[in-house]
Amino acid sequence: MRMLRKSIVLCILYTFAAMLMTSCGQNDADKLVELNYCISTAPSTIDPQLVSDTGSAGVVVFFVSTLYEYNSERELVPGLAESCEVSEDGLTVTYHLRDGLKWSNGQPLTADDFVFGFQRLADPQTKSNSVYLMTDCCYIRNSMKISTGDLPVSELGVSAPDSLTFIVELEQPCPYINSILSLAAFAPCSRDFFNSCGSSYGDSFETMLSCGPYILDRYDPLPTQIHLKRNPYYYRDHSHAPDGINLQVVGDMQQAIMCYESGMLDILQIGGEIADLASGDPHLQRYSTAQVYKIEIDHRNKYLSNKNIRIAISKSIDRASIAKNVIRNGYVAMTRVIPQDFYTETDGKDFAEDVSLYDDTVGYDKAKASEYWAHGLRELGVSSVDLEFYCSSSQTKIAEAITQQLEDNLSGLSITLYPLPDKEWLRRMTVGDDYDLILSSWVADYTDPTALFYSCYGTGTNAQYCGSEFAELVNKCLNAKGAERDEMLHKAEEILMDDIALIPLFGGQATYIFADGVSGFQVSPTGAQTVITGIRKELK
Amino acid sequence: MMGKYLRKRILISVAILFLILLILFLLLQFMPGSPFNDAKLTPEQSEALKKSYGLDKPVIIQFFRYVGNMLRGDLGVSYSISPNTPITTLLANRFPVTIRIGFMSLILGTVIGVILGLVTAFFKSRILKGIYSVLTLLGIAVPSYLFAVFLSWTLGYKAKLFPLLYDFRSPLYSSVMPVMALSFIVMAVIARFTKSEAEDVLRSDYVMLARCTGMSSRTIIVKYILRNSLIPVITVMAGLLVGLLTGSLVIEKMYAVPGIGELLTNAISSNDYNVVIALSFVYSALYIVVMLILDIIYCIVDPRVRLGGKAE
Repeated sequence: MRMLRKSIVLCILYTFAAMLMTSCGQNDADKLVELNYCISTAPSTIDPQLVSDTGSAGVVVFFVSTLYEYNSERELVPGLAESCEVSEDGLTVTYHLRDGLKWSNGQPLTADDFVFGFQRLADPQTKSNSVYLMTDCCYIRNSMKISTGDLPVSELGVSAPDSLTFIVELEQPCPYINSILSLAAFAPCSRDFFNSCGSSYGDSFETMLSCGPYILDRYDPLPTQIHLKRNPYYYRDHSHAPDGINLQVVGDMQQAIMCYESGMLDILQIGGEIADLASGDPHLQRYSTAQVYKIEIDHRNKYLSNKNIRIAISKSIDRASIAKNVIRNGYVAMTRVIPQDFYTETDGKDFAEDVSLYDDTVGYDKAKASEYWAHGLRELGVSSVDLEFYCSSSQTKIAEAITQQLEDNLSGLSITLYPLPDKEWLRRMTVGDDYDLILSSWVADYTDPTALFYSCYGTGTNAQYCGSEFAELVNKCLNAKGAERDEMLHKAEEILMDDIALIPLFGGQATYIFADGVSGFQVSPTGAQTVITGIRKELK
Repeated sequence: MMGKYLRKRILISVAILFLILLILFLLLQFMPGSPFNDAKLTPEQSEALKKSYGLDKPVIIQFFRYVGNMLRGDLGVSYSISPNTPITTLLANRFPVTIRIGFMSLILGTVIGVILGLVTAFFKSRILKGIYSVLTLLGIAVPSYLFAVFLSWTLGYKAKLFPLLYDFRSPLYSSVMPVMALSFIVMAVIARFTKSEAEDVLRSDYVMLARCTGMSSRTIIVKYILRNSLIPVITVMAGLLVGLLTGSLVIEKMYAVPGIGELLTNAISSNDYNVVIALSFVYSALYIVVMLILDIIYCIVDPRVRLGGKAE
């Protein structure tokens, strides 16, 4: 008994003593420049071919480079490729790699590494959720059949005639291919290194090679702390970049703000009310993204098939007021499908320069909405309309505000709101026939307007309702180039807006705050990737 | 007697775990959606993914295959929250952290709780009683999240005494605030139990006799009150420990502790069936084992407790 008592006392004393000793032993500040970067969720993977979420993409960008990349000015510039040529028919794209590229283990990085990386993405054995980028967005030859296991990976339309030339064959032209290939899923993969790791590839920092600006030197699956050091084999001079990066996962926003205020974090993405409260702070910076909120419509619904009813609904929503008072995250009201600062036309003009282009049809106007509503009801021969409106449970507040405005502004309209778990919401949105209205949030994967037309063509939700003229136009866009193509894209957007095929609501913004001395941070036009090559941190 | 009882309890435990596993498997079939990126993958690609993970097979086949693998120590791989990572790896990285913080909270809370309960019961001071009432009331009524916010603001942000986030380089020092936040409720519960038991013991005849014989207060507390008050405290501690190991999600998220609390919620919202099943199974097993150990400890500590139903 006495021994037991002694042990307990010793154990408690040891615990407190260890706490004190560790607290006294905190090191002085490191002389190396370390950037403390906060991320809100742990990356689900560091295997580039498996990356399908923004959390992972935000981490992988530190140690992965691709053929083309976004620079600090949000321009798409050559990355590991030096240049590319597109064949006359648009079906073959040849990339010329930079000379002397190396992996972080000093081994040469060759065109065959791209062949292997692309084959891994298509291979059903890799089990990648990003395979659709290859099959449905850039149409690489045979990728669809390979992804479903109907053809071997060797049949994929990629080849490397020599160590510096990488050729991609497409089933149909893809004018925006370089934007898609800038995504981490299209990163190279060293065949020898992958084979040497076996099934443990990407499980730890030791089983991952870098071809980007940094090298992982601390990582466990689903970590809360990740560390990277500068890659001496990186193809660009980045001697002014921070020596190391501490990626710290902080899921709680209040705690993150306290850490930032204490100097523990240098870069922090903020949202919601905190972003609203911090507006005006000189350390705060907002970046437009291609996350777009819209309402998808079931056009087969007997009420919603009436165009006047659709216009009335769109014109009853005071987007600016909801963005300011409900979302409170710098989101901007949108009355067209394509947001500002997303796509630059051939002549250098912003595609969505005129934000109010479709205001007459789509924009908020309570009086006109009532007129269209009355007109629609007369055409339908009814005096009241009941609709079911679905949303993700995380968007309930926005959907409630919309419902309130619609019911207030349109007499006789009754809306039943159904907040759903994310997975069920996604299922309904994808299947496209289990709702009257659904609040949709969509992020473009690549910087081309077609990425945001997705629900209206091909296998998209509303493809069958948006008319053959629209589908034909989008198909023609694949073969067109330059100003002619831009014109077609404008026409396609016009068809959607004139017919109120969908109701645009808000354009996304990413809000960051930076510590003193930190500069050069940027976000790609889609918002899905952070551009870290220009980041600098000056020691105080 | 004890051996027979143990064998019976273990057999029942195994049957319960098997049943839990089966129910979990069936329930997960009703969850909407799949673990995959349904919005963008074609139905054929989603099917190919399901096939590669064996999710295209009937539930009952999946179930027995899972049980077979589990008996070999293979809990499968994660489908979405950490694609293709073996769940044993995820648990091996995170369980030790959760267990360490859970145990530290339990020890800290118990030590303070027992002292507070005993002192309040023994010395009939109004001030002490007031402190006891405030602390125990706050400990039970205030959620650990609020307490954690208070600690972060005062000790972390203002006084800069402890780090605001968990740090693998100083795991003990950076665990101080999560441990304090979690131990508050432990302290409150233990203090209440200890005080009420200690008051009962104080009123007992043998303590009165001890006092009459002129025995010192210290001897009475250590020899009689402490020992006799601890039996019900042990019961509560077991439940609290399981609660600490399973329910520290908010604290883990707040202090960025790489524990298993957040793993389960992420897995549920992402339909990562394997992770949900594995964690639920581990939690259930943990609970059953703790309760079994508790029964055995009862039997050892208090010989009046007889296992197996019949008194000898």
